[in-house]
Amino acid sequence: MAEVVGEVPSGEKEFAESTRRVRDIIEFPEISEEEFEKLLKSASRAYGGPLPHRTYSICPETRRVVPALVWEKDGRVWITKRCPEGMITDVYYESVEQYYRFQKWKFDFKLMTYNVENSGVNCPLDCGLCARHRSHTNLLNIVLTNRCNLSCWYCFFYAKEGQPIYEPTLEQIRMMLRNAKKQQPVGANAVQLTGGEPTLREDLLEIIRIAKEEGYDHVQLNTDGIKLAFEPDLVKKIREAGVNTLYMSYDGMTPQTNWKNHWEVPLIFENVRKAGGPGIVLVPTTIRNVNDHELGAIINFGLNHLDIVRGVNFQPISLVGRVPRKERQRFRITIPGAIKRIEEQTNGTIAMEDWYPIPIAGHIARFFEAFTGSRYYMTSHYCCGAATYVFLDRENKRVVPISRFLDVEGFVEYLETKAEEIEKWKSMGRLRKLKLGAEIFMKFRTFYDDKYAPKGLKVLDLIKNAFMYGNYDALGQFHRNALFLGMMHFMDEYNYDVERVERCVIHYAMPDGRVVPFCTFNVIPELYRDKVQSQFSYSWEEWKALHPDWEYKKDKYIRTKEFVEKMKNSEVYRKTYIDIEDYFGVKEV
Amino acid sequence: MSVSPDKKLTRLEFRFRNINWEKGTIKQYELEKDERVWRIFLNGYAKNGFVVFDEEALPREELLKALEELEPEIKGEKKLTVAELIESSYSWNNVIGQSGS
Repeated sequence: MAEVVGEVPSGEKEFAESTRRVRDIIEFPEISEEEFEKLLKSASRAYGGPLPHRTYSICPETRRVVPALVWEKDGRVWITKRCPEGMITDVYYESVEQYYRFQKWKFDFKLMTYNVENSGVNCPLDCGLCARHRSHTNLLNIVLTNRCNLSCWYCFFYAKEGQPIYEPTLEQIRMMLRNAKKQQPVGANAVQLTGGEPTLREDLLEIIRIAKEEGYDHVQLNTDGIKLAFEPDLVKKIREAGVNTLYMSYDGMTPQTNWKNHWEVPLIFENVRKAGGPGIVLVPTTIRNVNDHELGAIINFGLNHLDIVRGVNFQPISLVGRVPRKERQRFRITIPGAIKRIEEQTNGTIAMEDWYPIPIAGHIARFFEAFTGSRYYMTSHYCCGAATYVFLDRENKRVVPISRFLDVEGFVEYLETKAEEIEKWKSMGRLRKLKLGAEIFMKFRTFYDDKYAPKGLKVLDLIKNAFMYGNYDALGQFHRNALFLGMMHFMDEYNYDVERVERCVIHYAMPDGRVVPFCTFNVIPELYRDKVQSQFSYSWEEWKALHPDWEYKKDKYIRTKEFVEKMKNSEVYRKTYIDIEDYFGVKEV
Repeated sequence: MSVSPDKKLTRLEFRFRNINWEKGTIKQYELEKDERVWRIFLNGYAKNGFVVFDEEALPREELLKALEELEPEIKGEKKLTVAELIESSYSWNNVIGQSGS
């Protein structure tokens, strides 16, 4: 299709074009009320129990909290609930096998602080965090503004002309940061500044500095990157102020699938290179029949820009709002579904078995708490996310997932036994620690296979330095050759599982003192996001009075025909998209 | 922000004679949507709860009318400001096992 130019990008026409051809549909299984009741009675109830499993969900229409059944059929996991208006089924997870492999790594955490008095019995209507929440804040989101430079057709969040503007004050932002930082026993250490489009705030640099002052080591900016394409100085300034990561929307390889910033990405990359950072994480919202055919190509793209791209974090679409069954069958994709696509599109280079569930990090954290005293527990539900690392062997032009040369699960199991051992000790002197470090390093060699490791990456040196001397300098080399791959599947009304939200690790700070899980903040906006932001918003008139020189239209980005033509013929465009290696192509032997 | 930190709120503590978990969650959701309600918890198991609301915007009678089917009995009442509500929510004021939390 011809590029949509001369207007604020909204994606509406591109989406219509993308969805004209339906490649595949998920057929949801039928289950009668009698079968449902029978299975519900016999279902496991404890977290991590076998399928069928009983949990709670919400009704998309009435918002009632209703019992739900997570069950398996034909190799897939489904969620069914009986709502006042009838039975609703959706796909929960597209692989029973992976469900059980990931379930093995479940990990629960006890949070010792709370922000609301509610006991959690009415979850997810009680968020805040309550005393029943089972994870500390791993990543704190702070909405800096609801102003946006794009006008995405599906977005109900950004302020349209004449609507209230939500923009917390610097003092409010500081207190939101402090609130999550003071959680016990572990405070938040990573913050994502989000929006709207956070780069529209003129005091962004000051906000970044406040985050650093409040002790956040990791500051990431969730952005479409458009301002960064045209303001190289801004890239330099945000890096200097302390932004480590640009968490940047990147939905595909073509102007149609990535209508948000396809034409601007080459300039963003150049500006980041010139500024020496921040690192970029590409964030493709992954939609069946829309861009699920490009997942391998996106990873390949990331590998071609490893000097600045640190990771690709796929987000299978969250179908928030009222979505008819037919549309859910057409657009829904889950983590195993996306991973399967990647396996196919990378010709088996990155396979299903190469991925790990997020809570495996909880088991590793347990060891590090015992060994070094440092604590950070990523203890989300095992179905919320998946991750792996792939390494680029530049010498042989091949891509190697970490699992091909390291028995990750075996090593983590070993670390757990060591953690148990250390926890029994009354104290650990310097000598004992050194001895233990040496023992772990020696043992590590049995989990590691040098034959399959990427050439030029000194994994053994890295491990030796880390465990024996507490020296992580070699990590820099690791990052230059490794690409983080992640999956984070945020829920919607149709696949909502209260057990997942109770363990959520990605939270939003609200100006009223509450901290709310991502999937309540966005899935029940009438109680959280929209309600509270409305309470704390400026009316249009108030905002205009406070900012007499501000104009709504000036916030908006218009992509011109001239710009697109210029980019098409540019060297930087060619360098970014065309003159790149294909690391996953079938190679001749 | 448009809301004043000094804005006065009312907190009513309740005992309910006709509540269970289902009724509690339905009513909590219904009231919680209202911007004039700042905090709410209706516990169908313990048969008690509280509502923090902006009484200037939401008359007490209207709130009690909405709660009528749960047969509420007011057990306590307190005035507080928005700033006090926010302060009381912070993590350092709510540590499990520490007095005052």
